[in-house]
Amino acid sequence: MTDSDYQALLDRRGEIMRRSVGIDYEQFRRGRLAWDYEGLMEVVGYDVGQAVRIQFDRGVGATSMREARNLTELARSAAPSGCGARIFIKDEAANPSGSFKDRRASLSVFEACERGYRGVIAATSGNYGAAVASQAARAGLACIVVQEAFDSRGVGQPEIIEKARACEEFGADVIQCTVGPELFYLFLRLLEETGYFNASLYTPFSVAGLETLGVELAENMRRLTRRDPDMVLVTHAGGGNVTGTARGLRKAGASATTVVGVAVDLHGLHMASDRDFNRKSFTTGHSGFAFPFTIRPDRSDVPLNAARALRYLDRLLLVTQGEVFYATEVLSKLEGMQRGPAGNTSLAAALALARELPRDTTLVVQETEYTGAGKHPWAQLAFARENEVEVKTGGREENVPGSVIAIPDDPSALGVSEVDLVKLRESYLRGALAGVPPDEIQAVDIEYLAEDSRAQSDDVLRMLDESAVEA
Amino acid sequence: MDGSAVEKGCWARIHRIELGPSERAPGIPDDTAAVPFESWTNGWLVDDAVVGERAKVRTLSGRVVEGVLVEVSPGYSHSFGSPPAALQRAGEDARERLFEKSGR
Repeated sequence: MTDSDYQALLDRRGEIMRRSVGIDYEQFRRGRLAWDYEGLMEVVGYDVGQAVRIQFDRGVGATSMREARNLTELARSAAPSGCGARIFIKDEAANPSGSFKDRRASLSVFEACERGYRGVIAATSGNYGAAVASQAARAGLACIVVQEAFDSRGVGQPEIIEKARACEEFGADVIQCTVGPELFYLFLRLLEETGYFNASLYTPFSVAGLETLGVELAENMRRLTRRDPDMVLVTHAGGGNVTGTARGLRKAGASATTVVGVAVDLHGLHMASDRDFNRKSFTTGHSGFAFPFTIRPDRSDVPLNAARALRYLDRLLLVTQGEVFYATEVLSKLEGMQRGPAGNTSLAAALALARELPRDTTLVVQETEYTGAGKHPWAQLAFARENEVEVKTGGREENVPGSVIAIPDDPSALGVSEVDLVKLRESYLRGALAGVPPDEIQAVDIEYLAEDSRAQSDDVLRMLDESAVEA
Repeated sequence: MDGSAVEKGCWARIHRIELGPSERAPGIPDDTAAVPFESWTNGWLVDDAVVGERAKVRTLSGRVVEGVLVEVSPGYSHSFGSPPAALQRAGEDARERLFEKSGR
């Protein structure tokens, strides 16, 4: 019997990861901190055209793009004269399991098959679990999904319970856990016990699976408007959505398009707190993931995370929970599209930004997700009330994560908070350099850190000096 | 109900304490550190079992997992809830702005 003791298992994580992903990450190490990121991405072994064909064969992708004319009109009703950008929505809910995550899961499961694994495992409480389960079902692979699902009272977010149901529907084992980072311990133990493929969100396959979305949306917009989109808004959490979409846009030649990450503001709530767990109405696409993953991408379940948002983010915005519920409501009432709520995070920002931008500007909301029992604004707001969160009409400043959800009743009340990317870059650099003796940092490391954070080499050197002083 | 006998082959739910409070990861918030890390798994009972006692299930992926039998035929009861007034007001405002003013 193998030693399942917590620390002993964590000590074996490197070997477990290498076997379960089939990638020897060490071959990409180039210095004390430097990695060959593009070299890692080349592990995928096929280009975006082949990725499109693999996905198409599995019913994934080729989703419709539609102009949300009524939402544009709604934004214009509250905009200064001459303003009110055009909003377009990429309807990713049309994928087999109901979200863009099918793009990521399809290449992960394809890879698991190619490499001869008999099953796949994913640690996720979100749409990705259903996507992996759906793709595994089609491929005839065993599938295990590990969810953070309940607080210590055994109470679970309705959205997460719905995801468990979907996974089970597709024939996957669902292991539902209470709150805590020890989920990773269970995940490692299962990988070791089963020898299955780690369908991590952070492998090159999972990120490459989203490049097709960037390419497709550029093509959609060229057909609809005869030019590239001005802005693509991406709901941002772990970084894969931003990274894959932005890489796809670049591959499609849409180099002038601004990539905007959007997350729900959940400041003040601790992601590992048993008490806070059920006081939030968003289980992903929120600041509790977006900030740590942007600043420290490699604190994930693989040695080198292929999702590196700082490389690709042109802007990062925060919206409130109330604004995303508002966006979900008007999407239903004005466009006849019942989607989200979580997938409408970037839509909430689009409605606010559209008011400020000229009428010929084009904004693309690059995803939607399915709606169902539990995964629905009524269910989620009822659950919030049961967990002592006040739900009321009000402006964005009235939202207090964990205590108050204030839903605007008028489009002029929507807004965004701009996150200072310069500060995030500094946090990234500070974290990367922490604990590393400055004399071990070589030119290749400086170059890598600058590229990885989109900072200047001078900024990296300045941070290096600061960390030397602190040391 | 605790003590009820359940036949082998039934779809059931087992509960496990994966880590006790003293075994939990360092650095987690106090409220989380004070409670055990638990898990629930569904599967078919491998043998006849009793609710509230230890049992083994064979899961959809074919694993055999042991824990305490807590539920027979576990289903799902999550719903759509009832309409929140604040959300309805938002929808009404949007419809009035777009459609009533234009007389549609």
